[in-house]
Amino acid sequence: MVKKQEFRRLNGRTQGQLRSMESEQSLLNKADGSAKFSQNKTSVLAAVYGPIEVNSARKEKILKSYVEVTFTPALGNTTYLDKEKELLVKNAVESVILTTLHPRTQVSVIIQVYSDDGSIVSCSINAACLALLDAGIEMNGLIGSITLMNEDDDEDNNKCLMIVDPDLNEENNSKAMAIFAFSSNSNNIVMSKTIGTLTEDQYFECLKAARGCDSIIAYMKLAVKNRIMGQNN
Amino acid sequence: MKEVISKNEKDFILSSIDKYTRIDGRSITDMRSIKIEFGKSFGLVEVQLGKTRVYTSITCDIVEPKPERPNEGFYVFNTDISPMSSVSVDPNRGNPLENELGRIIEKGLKESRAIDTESLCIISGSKVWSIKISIHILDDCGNLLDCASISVIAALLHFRKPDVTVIGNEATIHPIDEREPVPLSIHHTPISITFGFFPNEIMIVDPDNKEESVMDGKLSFLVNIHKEICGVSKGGGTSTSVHQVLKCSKIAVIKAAEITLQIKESIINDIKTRQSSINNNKRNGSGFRNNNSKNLEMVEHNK
Amino acid sequence: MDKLVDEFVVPGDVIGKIGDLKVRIGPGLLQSKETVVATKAGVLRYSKFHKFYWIENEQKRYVPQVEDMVIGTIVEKHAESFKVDIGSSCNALLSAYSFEGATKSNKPLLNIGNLVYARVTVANRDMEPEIVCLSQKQKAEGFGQLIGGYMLNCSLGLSHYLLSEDCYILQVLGKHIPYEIAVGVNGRVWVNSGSNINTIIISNTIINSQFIQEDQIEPFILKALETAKEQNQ
Repeated sequence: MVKKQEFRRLNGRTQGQLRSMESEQSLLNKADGSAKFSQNKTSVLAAVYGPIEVNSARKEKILKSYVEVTFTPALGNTTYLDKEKELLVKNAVESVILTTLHPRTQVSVIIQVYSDDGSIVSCSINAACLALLDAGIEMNGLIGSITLMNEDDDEDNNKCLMIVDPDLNEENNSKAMAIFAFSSNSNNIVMSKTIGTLTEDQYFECLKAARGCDSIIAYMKLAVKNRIMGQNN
Repeated sequence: MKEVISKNEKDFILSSIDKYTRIDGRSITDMRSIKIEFGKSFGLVEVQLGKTRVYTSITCDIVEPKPERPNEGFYVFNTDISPMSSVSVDPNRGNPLENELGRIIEKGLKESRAIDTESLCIISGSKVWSIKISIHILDDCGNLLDCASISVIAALLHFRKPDVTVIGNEATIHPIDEREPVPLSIHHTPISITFGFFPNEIMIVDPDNKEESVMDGKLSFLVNIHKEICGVSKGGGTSTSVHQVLKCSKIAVIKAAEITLQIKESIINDIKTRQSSINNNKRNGSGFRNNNSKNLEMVEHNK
Repeated sequence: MDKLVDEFVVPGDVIGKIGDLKVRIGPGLLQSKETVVATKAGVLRYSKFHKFYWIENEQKRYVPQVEDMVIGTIVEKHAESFKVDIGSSCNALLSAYSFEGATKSNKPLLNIGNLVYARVTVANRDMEPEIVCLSQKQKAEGFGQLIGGYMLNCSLGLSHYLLSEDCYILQVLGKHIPYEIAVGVNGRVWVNSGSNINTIIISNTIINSQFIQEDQIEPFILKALETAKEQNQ
């Protein structure tokens, strides 16, 4: 156990240490809600419009609102990889939004990447959650997301180093990655996505370590509180 | 969904401008305030012109040149009007404004030879730099062109590409953390200044979105600091007298000089803070911020 | 339920149990079985007089509620009705007969782009909202077309503040400039005064009031008036 504590990654963080978080809310004038969320060099801007009129009639849902997520990378056009991220974010946020309260409407979440330095999906989900809170969209809880990864170790396959919130360098030599999103109201998993091979034990170990997500949710609560209470005082 | 502007607002704006006043309290030749922010890496710039917000990011790649032009690299422009900029932007449909914006900026830079593709050559015929410039419109509160042009210029001036040593036919690329990266060669910086035209031969500088919806026409000048006009764009609208165009060009020259100075100043400041933070880290004996405590750093910006 | 009043809450927070007490819950609160849960981030407020709980936040998008007073822009004109944009997801319906003294032969003269001050009578999530330009006593009482002036957009929170009885900004403004105002809770404020410059000063004071201290408001107005005077000369 002692050895584990001493382990430091190339970027100087410990195994379970998250990067420092920064956020800014309501920075856009036009959007109903917006938030910028950064984890060191990974930085994402999310904007929310809603509930608004559905932009095309065939997407209209009679019993609930349609959630649309648009993900734009920092550079170039959107590719199929970005479409996948879009879907992950959509699935995650859709589960916390109370869509039945505003039928036949649309909630648009637009994600713009400022710079990508790893854990981009998690960062996007966190930014989206802050933007949804800012827009006053009805939700049943907050959502926080975290990325974990198993470092590739050629020498010893059993000794797999699991680290939290990897940056781009670490992501590039990952053996497996797991992205989790948790909802604050029940502490249950909302989204889980793995890339690469993991043993069952490793998966559960990841899940345990993913409780670091609580601190992300706590950070979000504080950020929103500072914004709303700061203005009233 | 469309944005609606009422007749009351339109009438009010028109009658105010007739008396040389504007709804946000500016005079007719005032621009909104410009705020330039740089990202953590080189070539990431966010510019706010009043409430309009544009983000430009630049990266570079090494590619093979076209066989007919072996000595020329590439500047690739990509403009994206994000659906977050306004409710009326539909992400599923193309936006003609997107192309127009990108074209004006790209042509203004390339045809005035502000940027040249020959300086991007590493090894003739096999290796050249390709510079990719992505312009993202994040918040549309009027006068996107000027805001985008400022952000592109700021990003080009701020960007640094890795240093390369060429020995014979071998090129070595030095990563940014090993050797000081080099800036792009920018000869001059054409900046767009837009004018909006109103009845009674009144023109205003830097129209915002409400003014844009009532004005009769607009005219954009791309001017550099040497008082050279690098491009003029007038996309239809009301006809304008030559006298008025000349008046506009005079104002544009002054405004462009002011803005160029502001961009350069903010870049110098940014480079300074970057260097001092690097030096601090070196003194501490490590290249990274060493956080021993597991406590999260909480930084909060409140507006 | 009282212990959280005036406290900051986030979605998913349990506000309290519904006992025998008769209470009404408003925006941002939802009943789930026996408990009341928050669905928005903001400050929980309670009105003793109405026995009414709601969450106050800095939202921008308007969701119609019955008896709200709103400002709308006419976007469509039909034989016996108008479609009015009130900032919600769906345009509201305004009957041509719901004006004081309107009959089949005496309809109001309204055109596309005109502003109306109206009261919401139907606000149902499955139906389009309906508004009327009549008070509960079926009289005009200020409702109807807004002629001239200028309309500005603000957050819903600010428009509620402007409607409160002890609104400081409006009192201070009134000391220096005579003006007319109509506040819609959909985040729209219409102002009119003797001259365009005064209207501009009023609208800028209202917009900027969120960012300046209360004791700075009066100097702000005086300074604006002075510069306006200088410009006139």
